[in-house]
Amino acid sequence: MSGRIRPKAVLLFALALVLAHPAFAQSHQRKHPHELAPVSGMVCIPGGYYRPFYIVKGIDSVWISTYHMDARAVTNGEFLEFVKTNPKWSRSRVSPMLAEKGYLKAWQSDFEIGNNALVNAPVVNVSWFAARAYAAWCHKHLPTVAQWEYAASAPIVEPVRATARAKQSLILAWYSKPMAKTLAPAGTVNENAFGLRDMFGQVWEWTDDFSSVIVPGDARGTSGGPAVCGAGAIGSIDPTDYATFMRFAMRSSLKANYVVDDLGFRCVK
Amino acid sequence: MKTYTILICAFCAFALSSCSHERTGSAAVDAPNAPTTIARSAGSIYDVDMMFDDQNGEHISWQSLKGKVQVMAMVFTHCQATCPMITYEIKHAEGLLQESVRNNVGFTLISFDSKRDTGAQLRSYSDAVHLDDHWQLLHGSQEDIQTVANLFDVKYKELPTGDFSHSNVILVVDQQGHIVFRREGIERNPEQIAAIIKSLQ
Repeated sequence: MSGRIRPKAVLLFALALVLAHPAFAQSHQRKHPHELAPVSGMVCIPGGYYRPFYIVKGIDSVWISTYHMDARAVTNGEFLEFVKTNPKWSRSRVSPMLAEKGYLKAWQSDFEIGNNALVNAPVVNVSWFAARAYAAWCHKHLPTVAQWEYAASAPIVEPVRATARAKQSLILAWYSKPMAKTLAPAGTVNENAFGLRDMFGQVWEWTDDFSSVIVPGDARGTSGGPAVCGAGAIGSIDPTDYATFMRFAMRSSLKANYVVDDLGFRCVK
Repeated sequence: MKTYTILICAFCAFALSSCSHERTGSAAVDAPNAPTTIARSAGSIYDVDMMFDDQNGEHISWQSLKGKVQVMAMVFTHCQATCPMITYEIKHAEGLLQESVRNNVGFTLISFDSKRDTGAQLRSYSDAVHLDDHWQLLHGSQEDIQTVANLFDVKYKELPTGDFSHSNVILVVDQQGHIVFRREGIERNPEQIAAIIKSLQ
């Protein structure tokens, strides 16, 4: 499991779309930000309006209340502490219903990472159930799709300031590259204007309600009848926003016990 | 490999959605013979601790469903579309079972709607559609509902009206909690469900 999408044709198509439609609507607008008490290792994200990527009749934009988000992805070292305290989440004891084969496969054993380079790198190969249990253990939550996308919508400021279009290109270039053999330490990649790092450029991230993503292609069942009842998405706000589209399609393809080589998480409070 | 597959699927979905948004919600019928049975799942749905309340006001643990074959589905009682069809199909399957078999089977509906589907509402729904004592209608916290949906691989989303978009899924779960049958889509095939139940006795 080493890959991310590579076919050049896909990338070229994506870039063509992006270049053909440079307009990239800002999906948030700040309104009366009020600070919450600071939380160590977390960034305060001031509330604002978020326009959902997939439009559902009756929802134009949703108000996101001020929240805290981990400044960087959760690391192997941090996840190890959780596993030590909660051995039912160790590799050999976890229920296959909650994490498929391959869970924490880069670790040496149940309670040993065994590779110093991994300790501070983002933890990957964790299922939604495991990520959520970790978040609960820390008295936190996984971000909702809306919270994650809202936080990710801020421009990138480090290492270089990127315009919306440049940011898209940067993200798409990352999506198209094979995964790095060794991930950089968490918190060292692409800081955005909220002060969040690693939102792009290292790993994809779980969201709490990833299974609420019903993309138009999902609307039929394995057996032919309607798989989805009720109003689905009528389309995306910006079909040319290919990078965001990729994330939604990725989410809709996941199952909660999946573990993936380049899928980690961070928490919110 | 999986990421690769996922992203290829993602791309295909994009290609589809970008040219045919009007497909949304339509009932395509291009895979009528697709297999609906899955191999017995590894692990048990009861490997998670949760609490629910039923239509009789009883506070029950998720694990208390263990020990019987369970036919399960997620619905909400205000649904005017597919949920009544799901309930009816399961009820029809129940009617195809001999009483000796029926007594070893539980029929469990878990509501998406933690706001409106209170115990009293579930009770009146249960009475209105004449569900017998073998049925349990459960409501719980949003967090536990989300966990059940993810155990069942059910997608759902609350709409501004308070209704829900959701996948239509019926499962049969064995006495230990292994999923032995999962069907997505409306098929009106209660005989199939009854046959699976009988095979587990």
